[in-house]
Amino acid sequence: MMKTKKMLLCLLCWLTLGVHAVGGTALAGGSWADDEPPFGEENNLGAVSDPLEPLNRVFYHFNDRLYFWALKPLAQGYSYFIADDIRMCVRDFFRNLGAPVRMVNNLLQGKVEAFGVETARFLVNSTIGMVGLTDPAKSEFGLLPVEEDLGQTLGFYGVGEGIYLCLPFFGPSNLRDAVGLAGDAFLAPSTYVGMSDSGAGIAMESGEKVNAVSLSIGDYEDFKESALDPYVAMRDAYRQNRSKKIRDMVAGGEELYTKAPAEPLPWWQDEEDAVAGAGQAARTAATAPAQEQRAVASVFDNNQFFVEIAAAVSADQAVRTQHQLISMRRDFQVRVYNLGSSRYYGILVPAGATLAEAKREEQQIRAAGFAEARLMQ
Amino acid sequence: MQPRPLLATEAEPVTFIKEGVDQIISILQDQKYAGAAMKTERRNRVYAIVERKFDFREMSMRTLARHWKDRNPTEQDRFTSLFRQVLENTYITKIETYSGERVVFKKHEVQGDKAIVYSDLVRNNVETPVNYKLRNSGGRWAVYDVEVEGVSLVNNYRTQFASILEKENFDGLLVRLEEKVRKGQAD
Repeated sequence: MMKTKKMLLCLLCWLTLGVHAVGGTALAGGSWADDEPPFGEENNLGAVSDPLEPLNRVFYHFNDRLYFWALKPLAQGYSYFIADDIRMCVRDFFRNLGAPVRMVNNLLQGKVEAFGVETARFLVNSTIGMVGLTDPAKSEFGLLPVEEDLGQTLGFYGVGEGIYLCLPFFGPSNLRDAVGLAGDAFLAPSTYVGMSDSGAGIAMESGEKVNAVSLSIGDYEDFKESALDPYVAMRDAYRQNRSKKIRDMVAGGEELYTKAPAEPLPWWQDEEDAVAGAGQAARTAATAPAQEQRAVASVFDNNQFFVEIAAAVSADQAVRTQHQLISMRRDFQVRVYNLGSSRYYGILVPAGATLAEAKREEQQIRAAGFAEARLMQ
Repeated sequence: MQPRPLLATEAEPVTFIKEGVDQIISILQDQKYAGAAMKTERRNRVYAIVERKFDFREMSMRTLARHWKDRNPTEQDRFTSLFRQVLENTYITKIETYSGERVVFKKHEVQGDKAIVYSDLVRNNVETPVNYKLRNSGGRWAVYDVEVEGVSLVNNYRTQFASILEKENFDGLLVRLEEKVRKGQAD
């Protein structure tokens, strides 16, 4: 139900804006598959380029003092008078104003679906959500914001981070993201408020900042407390976070951790990929059963026999079954294949086997405790 | 790599983490341990759980990276013990500020002897992704890295240690860790 509402909303927004004409796939690019780190390991970001370190450290200390001397006391005073649910509304209001930046950058990266989500969020929250003070798009329709900015867009198209910068007021950045920040300013309402009245523009930015700090007092202190060299820790945290954001690995994009193939096909996967396909399975969950039938049929194009042992199991069950079978008999060629909404587990009978041989294989597998096993060709 | 057969009795990675998180939350909410007098007792109980779930030696190896194998076993043990204390001291204060945040477990993935558990920490209606990376050795899972909002803790410390070791020797690093531990205990 939720899914349908979400889809309808996205569709509505595409249609009203005529974006479907642009064609997202034409813009899509930037494959990260090649340099994915092994499962559970970190991507090597390479050595940092920080020729301005002395200056950056000065600005780091400036921002640090700014936080402790101005931002934090202001935020504490403010939160004393204003209840946290109101501050959350203020946060949502500013967040909603940031929607154009996210919409444009999703579009620039060819992420048409995410663009639809952001557009839908903007429309819903600006109207039913009372000019963005609440977030019904998330609470009612399950639409989560897709954080994108110009720095990420540039990174998506392969622009390197350049030298590290610690900007006064803005904090950690780099050459690419600083350019992005300036570009995104064209879509930020505070820029236009500031054009007619620079004081009001600054007040707006500061208000947003103080409000945000009031909801996360203690985070920066804890971060600083945990570090041996807070400047280096901050620089590294920024690089790691940006690198993963560009590869959509921070929130919602976890499937990228596991090197899932870019396309649903080939659905024949090696043992090692049994888990990797899990994210893929979730993404292609909407595939119709009829399509599955077709896919099953084409498994047997090479006339090989196949003993299906389980149908529609979860990724975890599949891995356990696979391990169980391998521990029983090493020469089983256990394969998992992923057909959209469900996963099948099977054992491939070696090529060239006769029907009688294949039937014996099937009997053996049934005897091993998989009573539902059935031979297919 | 040949997939490792899983034993039926083995806890799933997500259960393994969830169990620890639930135990810690129940200690923090337990009125028995409330109040300043019980602070040490409460901390010790939390540490006991953390030590069952984390592999501090593996974390130390990973943060020191190439510097690890240049050290003798005594130095390695010393480093592991100091690093563990630094982590415990700095994160315990964070844990103690717990005020009803929710931890949502999204999924877990297993590949060979490694697993990643994906969770969200929900505070003020905002989700912070927290991922635990685990390794199975001898049929037991243990966390070797935690990633918060895409920032790996091990990577972050590795960068800091490498930067310190560029300017100072290993003993210098140990001294700095000792100072950090002393300062942390004073809090």
